[in-house]
Amino acid sequence: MKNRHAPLLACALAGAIAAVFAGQAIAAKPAADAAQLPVIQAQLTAPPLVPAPITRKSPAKVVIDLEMVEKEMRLDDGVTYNFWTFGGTVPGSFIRVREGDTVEFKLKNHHSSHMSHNIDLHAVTGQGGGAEATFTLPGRETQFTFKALNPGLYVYHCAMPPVAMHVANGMYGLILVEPEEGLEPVDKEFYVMQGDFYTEGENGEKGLQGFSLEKGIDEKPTYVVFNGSVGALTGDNALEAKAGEKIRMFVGNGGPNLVSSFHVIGEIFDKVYVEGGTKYQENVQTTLIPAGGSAIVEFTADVPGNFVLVDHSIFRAFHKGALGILKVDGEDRPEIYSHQQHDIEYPEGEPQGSQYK
Amino acid sequence: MNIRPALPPLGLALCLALGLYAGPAAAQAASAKGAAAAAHELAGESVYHLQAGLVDQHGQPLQWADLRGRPQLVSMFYANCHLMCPLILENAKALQKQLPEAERGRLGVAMITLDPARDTPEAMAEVARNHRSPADWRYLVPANDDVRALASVLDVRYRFREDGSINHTSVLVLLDAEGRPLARSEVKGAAPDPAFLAQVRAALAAAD
Amino acid sequence: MERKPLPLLAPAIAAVLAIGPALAGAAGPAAGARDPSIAWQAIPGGQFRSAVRFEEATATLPVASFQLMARPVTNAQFAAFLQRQPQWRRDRVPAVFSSPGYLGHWATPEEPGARLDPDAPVVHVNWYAADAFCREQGARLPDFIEWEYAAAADATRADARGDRQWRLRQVNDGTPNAPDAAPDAAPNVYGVHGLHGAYWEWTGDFSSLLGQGDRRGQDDGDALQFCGGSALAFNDAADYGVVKRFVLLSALQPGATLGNLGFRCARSQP
Repeated sequence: MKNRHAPLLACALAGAIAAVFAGQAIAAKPAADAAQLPVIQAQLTAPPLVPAPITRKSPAKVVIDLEMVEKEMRLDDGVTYNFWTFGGTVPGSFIRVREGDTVEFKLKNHHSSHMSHNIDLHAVTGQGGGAEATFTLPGRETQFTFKALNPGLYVYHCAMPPVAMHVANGMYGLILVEPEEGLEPVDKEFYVMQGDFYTEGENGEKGLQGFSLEKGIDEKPTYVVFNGSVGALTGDNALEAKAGEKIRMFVGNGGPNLVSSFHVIGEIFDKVYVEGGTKYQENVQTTLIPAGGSAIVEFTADVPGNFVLVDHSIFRAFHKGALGILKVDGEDRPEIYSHQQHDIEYPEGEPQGSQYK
Repeated sequence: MNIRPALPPLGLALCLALGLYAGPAAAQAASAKGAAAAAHELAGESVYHLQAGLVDQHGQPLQWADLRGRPQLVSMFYANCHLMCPLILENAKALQKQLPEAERGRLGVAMITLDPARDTPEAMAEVARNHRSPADWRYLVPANDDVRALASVLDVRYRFREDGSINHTSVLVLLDAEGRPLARSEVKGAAPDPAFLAQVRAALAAAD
Repeated sequence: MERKPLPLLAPAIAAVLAIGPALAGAAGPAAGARDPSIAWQAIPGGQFRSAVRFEEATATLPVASFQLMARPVTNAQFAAFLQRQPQWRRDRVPAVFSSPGYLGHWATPEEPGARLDPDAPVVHVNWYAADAFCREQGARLPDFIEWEYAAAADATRADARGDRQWRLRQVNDGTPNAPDAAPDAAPNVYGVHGLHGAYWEWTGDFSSLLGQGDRRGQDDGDALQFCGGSALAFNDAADYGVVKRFVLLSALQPGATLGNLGFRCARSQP
């Protein structure tokens, strides 16, 4: 009896001792002293570009400098709109930090703004996501500091009353908190964010369009677009990649109202970090992105072609603008996709599969 | 006539000190007297640029600028307040007690009412008695028209409620001898904020 | 002649004291100080249901009859005020009543300059300056509820707020697309112009609009923050015009100035 249990006991003991040492090793990670953190000025990017992946392996104090400005910009051909923006774009600048970073956030409101704005970052644990600390009058700058406790892809948006109007006018963007171990390297990263817009005129009506509160309350948008305007990701503005490249898209949905059924025609998402979180689903055709939420999708562009990003609530894609293009260049791979192989006549007769036999 | 070139700049400075803020007509004569005591120009950030006539708890009229000359601890409250206002008074009393004996008398304390319509000088005297505040504390009643302006320079926000009570910022403001705001302490309880106490002591040392 | 400034200080002060009150712009306004270019409109009072609801039990509040300037104070009128009260010039006003932006957009400390429309509302003025201007005219700044009461009217109705379409257009208040932004926009039924214009306007009691920076989920006021707590709600969440105006004013400091913030004065009826 004793002989049989002894090795088992030894294993258990060895395991327990190993566990203790492992636990100590994890606990022995140096607690970062805020005063000794290296200070990094964050490089923000305009959509569809994303800042470079983070290579450091320890926390830092990251300083963010973000300016809010109201500007009239193109919504569609011949159609303009008074957008309210973070960083001058819709969606606003992309922010990239690392789990455990201490983020010093400076928010400016341009002198020409007609009213105050603030920011609520979903990555912030704290009152209002920072909104209560960043009430910023035109011509002023506010600041607060937060610790990025959780990794993930988070929406940020203005939370100034009337909140729905500020969001409807384009005041949203994404902040990525990379996990400590970082993300797997890919060849291309893109920033795509869907939003619904409510104009007084009909879809396509020319000129400067005003915001329609009525349509917003009724949740009946005139435009549903990626990256702030119809055609922001088509034609010369299409996203570009090479066949064989591994692609990651950080996809957000600013709303204010609609949920997105995000799909790339002709591609399958190898991985979807559902709702921008830590776990991923694999082999997904269409993923739901909540209003005020996000998803990270990864796929390899195996074959060349024009791959169409859509909100698969399909009327939106073709009548309101929820459509973008990923142009992939490269060598055809007919073993994966052959293009059309024949188009011939076939003899007439009873329709196959007919119910009327 | 030879003095004339010297007059305009000096005169301008005094005119500025005197005549800046339009206050009740009754204040003008008193203000002229008060400003005459100012032999040098008042700092730009001083709250005493505001012209306002007040009456203390003994019924004596004075000018807002009469408080100039030593550091002041100032707050705004009202007599019928039973929530924060007693704490403001107790907090100020406790803070003063924590000062060394020699410094205590050099700090002026002024409590201004937000409700001059109901808080008469007599009512102010009763508050002073009830709280057993030191005899040199001033409880001041401004003119109705001046409450808003005083609250503005002291950054006190207030709102009259339907039932006559007042929502207001509960804060002790530390002014230096020239009337420049040095520090503020949001009153959350009867115990003074140690950091604020340190600033009061620094102000008294600087005014030496 | 030797210069002895010190002994001559007393007569200098006396001379200055003599002209002091005149420079102060005594509160009982001198007859010459009234600006004849200002038009006043009578606003008859009444019971009023404000869009802003504090903790009052009653749904309506009485608004006493008052007078309101027909138009906001203009660049020309404010320049004339500075001629009479030069202590309010941006180069002479003491720091406690000023801020870096105060009249910064004017060409000179006393004149708006050729690039500004003299009849356009004066902006980049702070509450202290606006209050001083109104006091000199024997008037005062309006209360928020007085602004709201007068602004509830359109060209034909004293209270047009039941007209949803009319109210929805006020989302553009404070911008060049505001309903009354055009200089020739029609006055309302009281004869008052531009209440829903491209410019916000100071109220006398802006600092009584107690609110916090982030209003989401703020149904219970923190009882200690404002000595007794203040609950605030908007009776109609879709009244964006009033919400925006309230939110903006409630965040201001008395010394603050904005490029689209002007003012007009009100007078209580005796």
